[in-house]
Amino acid sequence: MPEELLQALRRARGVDAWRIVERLVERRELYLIGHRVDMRRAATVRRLELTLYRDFQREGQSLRGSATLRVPTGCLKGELERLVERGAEAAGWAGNPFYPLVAPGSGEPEPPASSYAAHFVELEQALEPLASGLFAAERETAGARLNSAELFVENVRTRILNSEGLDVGFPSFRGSGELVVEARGPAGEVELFQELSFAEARAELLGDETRRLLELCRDRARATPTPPLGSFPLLLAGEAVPQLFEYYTFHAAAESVYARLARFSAGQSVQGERLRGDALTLSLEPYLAHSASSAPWDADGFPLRPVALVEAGLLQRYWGPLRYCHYLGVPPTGTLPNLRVLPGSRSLAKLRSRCLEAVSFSDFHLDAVTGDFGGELRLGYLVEEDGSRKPVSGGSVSGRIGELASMWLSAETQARPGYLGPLGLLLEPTAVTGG
Amino acid sequence: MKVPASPYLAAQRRGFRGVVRALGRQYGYVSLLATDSQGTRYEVRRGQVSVQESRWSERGSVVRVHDGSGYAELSFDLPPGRQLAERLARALRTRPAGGLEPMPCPVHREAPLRRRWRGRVKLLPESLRVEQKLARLAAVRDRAFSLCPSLVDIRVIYEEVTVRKLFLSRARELEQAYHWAQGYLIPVVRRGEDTRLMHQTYSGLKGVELLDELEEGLEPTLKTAEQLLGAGRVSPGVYEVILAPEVAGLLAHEAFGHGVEMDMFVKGRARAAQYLGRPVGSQRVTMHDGARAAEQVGSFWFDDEGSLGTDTRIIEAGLFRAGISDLLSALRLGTEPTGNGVRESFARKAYARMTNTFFAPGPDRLEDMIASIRQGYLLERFVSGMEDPRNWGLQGVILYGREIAGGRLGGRVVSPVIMTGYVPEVLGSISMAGGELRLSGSGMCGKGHKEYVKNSAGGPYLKCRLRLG
Repeated sequence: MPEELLQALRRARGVDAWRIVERLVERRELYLIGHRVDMRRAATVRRLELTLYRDFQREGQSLRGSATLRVPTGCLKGELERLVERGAEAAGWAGNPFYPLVAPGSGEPEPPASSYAAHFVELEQALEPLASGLFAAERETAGARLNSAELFVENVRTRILNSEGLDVGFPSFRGSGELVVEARGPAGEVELFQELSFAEARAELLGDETRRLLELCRDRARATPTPPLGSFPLLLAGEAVPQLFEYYTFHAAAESVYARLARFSAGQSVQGERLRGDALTLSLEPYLAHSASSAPWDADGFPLRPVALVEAGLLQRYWGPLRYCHYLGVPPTGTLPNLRVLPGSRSLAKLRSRCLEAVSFSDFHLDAVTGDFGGELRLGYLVEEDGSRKPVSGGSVSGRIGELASMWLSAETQARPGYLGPLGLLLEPTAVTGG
Repeated sequence: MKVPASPYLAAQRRGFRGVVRALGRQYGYVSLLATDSQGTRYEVRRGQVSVQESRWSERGSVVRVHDGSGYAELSFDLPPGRQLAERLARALRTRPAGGLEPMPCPVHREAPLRRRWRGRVKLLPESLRVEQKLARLAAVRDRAFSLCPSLVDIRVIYEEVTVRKLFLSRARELEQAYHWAQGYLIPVVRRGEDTRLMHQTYSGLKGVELLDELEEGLEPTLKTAEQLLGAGRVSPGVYEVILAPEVAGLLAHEAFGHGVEMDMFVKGRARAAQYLGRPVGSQRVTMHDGARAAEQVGSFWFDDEGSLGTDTRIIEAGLFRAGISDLLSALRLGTEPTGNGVRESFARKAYARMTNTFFAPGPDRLEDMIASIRQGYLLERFVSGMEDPRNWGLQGVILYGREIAGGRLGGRVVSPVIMTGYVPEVLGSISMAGGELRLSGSGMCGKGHKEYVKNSAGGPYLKCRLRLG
């Protein structure tokens, strides 16, 4: 932490409180075209975010104004002081109802911060084994191959301080990138794309992801156009499933309640009384071993612990950062980065009966406010009543969560970035446009 | 008013030159891009105000070297000091994944050029104090609540960014400073159980004067938001449609723009590579991209690899003429770079990226387009889109469409609408193009699902056939 910034804050006039979030990022990047190296890159970057607060009264109401600034590395002489002055002035005009900052001793995160350090890796050594994991998966999967990949590994040291005396920090590892695979079918070459996010630099995990994508691409190569099915049951599987649940976390968020956008009330059903299927049980988690977004504290420095959000379809509580929970007068949970969803009662094999199983979209879209969802299908399977599956591609599916008559969750689970829960959801009705 | 140059870059220029010189003794090619961009985002909504640093603010540098076979890069945010060149050289010598075979790339030989550019806006950010900007946004919000009884919330956002970059290599010393602004009106309206979200956006190489557009746009935005309440669903099928300029821009950007980014040619991911000189659309279709092709948020004088911005005619009267390229792809393909090498920030890699992408205007009038449609839709605003350069699939999520029946624009509104299609079929079906070109650049564009950059897209009103769902 630059001592000059702390000195500038001590000298600053009119600043009633402050918060600093510092992230030191050390990253290595490998760009592959086929098996060859397109480029190597490295980055060493410090991100320093400063929030300044000013407290004042207006029309009898206590207000707290704030302004958030990025403090650049290598400030010129006097620049830091001018930056703080500018921020303090802006904060004086951005007044919101008062809310406290996180005080030191607000509790310990669960699990403890030490759980995160284990993932730190030797960056220089990490990339080649990961690339080998991709190549091994390709060798084991006939009929599809790797087109290109980008692999990024980074060690991040996060530190959060505020004027209340809070000073917490933790190390973390983040892996990310993308994977493009291709296959040839009767209609020519096709490809599938996968964004990568991983919390452990383990070649076998990346290999599994690659293998799965290669197999899907092989199916896409022999897929036929999706027929116009009209109103039809949709078995949503894979990467789109976590996105659909954002509807539930959005409408249970304290910020949404404060903005009068939320549709859920504590103690009431989040699925409606008429919906057939599995009742939802959702919890928010600071830590999932596979999730690179896991964190022991949120950006305010609030200690994160697991939160039971929805149980058997009933909303247990609102969730959110200290500010919005303070506004609602409910206990704060902090901003939790992961969602865990209890699996359902039926296996995928049972759910697979006369439906469209959608496993890959161009870009699955959910409007969390309205509950509208949909996207263009890159790969799906038309499932007959006997469970037999035929790959299809093209066309689109769409629906609205509030208009669903049934939702069944698969018993099988999947681990995705920020998510652990059902692999598939059987939704009815949805509209399927042909390809 | 002229956009001021960066005091930071001015102060460090000599030091950065020293870094390029020192590394130049060890490498066949060295370049350095230093950035110092600063911006602020102001937002008011019901009961809330915020002032945040813009996500486009950055200060840092990236050095690129040719290491004998290909290129390596190092991003850092330290200012130049006595030790910097040695530290960079040491870091560049470490070669993660050194056991893998490199894909060779020639050394770049560039023509010497020293030049500085500075943009102009009507009103610089300093022309209005923070409290004046916030007061104008708050007035828009308050007026919205007085005008619209079904309004639940409205986000009124104004963002201003001054971009400043310095590019140095043995042969080049380029510096630019320009300013852009963008604004959003995002009302949420509700009637009973029906909740709808609308958005209207504004953008350009503009300063505080953009606030005028935001204020003028409020009433039509609220009117459209109220029309979305009770909006119906489109019956899935293929329709004759008219794309408003913003949606035409989405088509240009997602359908064809991403597919002609020439780093995709190097990877063998672009079907367009096989169509050079061949028809890909109707004769009505002419499409451009370029940092110098229009004045919008995708404009600049030089890109993040030191190549000058251009105006590329991608499609001309239906024929695919040229792709858009970053420097390294051009070196590998033996083509000229088109000034499309853009980074999300100094900390990220440069890729071939669109800048200002648009269909050229045509001879037709909107009234005639509407009159020519028996059953179809006018698609006005979009939510998102996604590219598919290899398979030429098209996806766009459209916020709403207005029904056209019997050659007349009716009152029925459908929302949301998913448009899909096969790119050559869609471009081939363009039968009419309006006379007025409009671009917008309030969003951000990803390469896949990351590497977000600012660019703009647009076109005139276009008539074509699309599958809607």
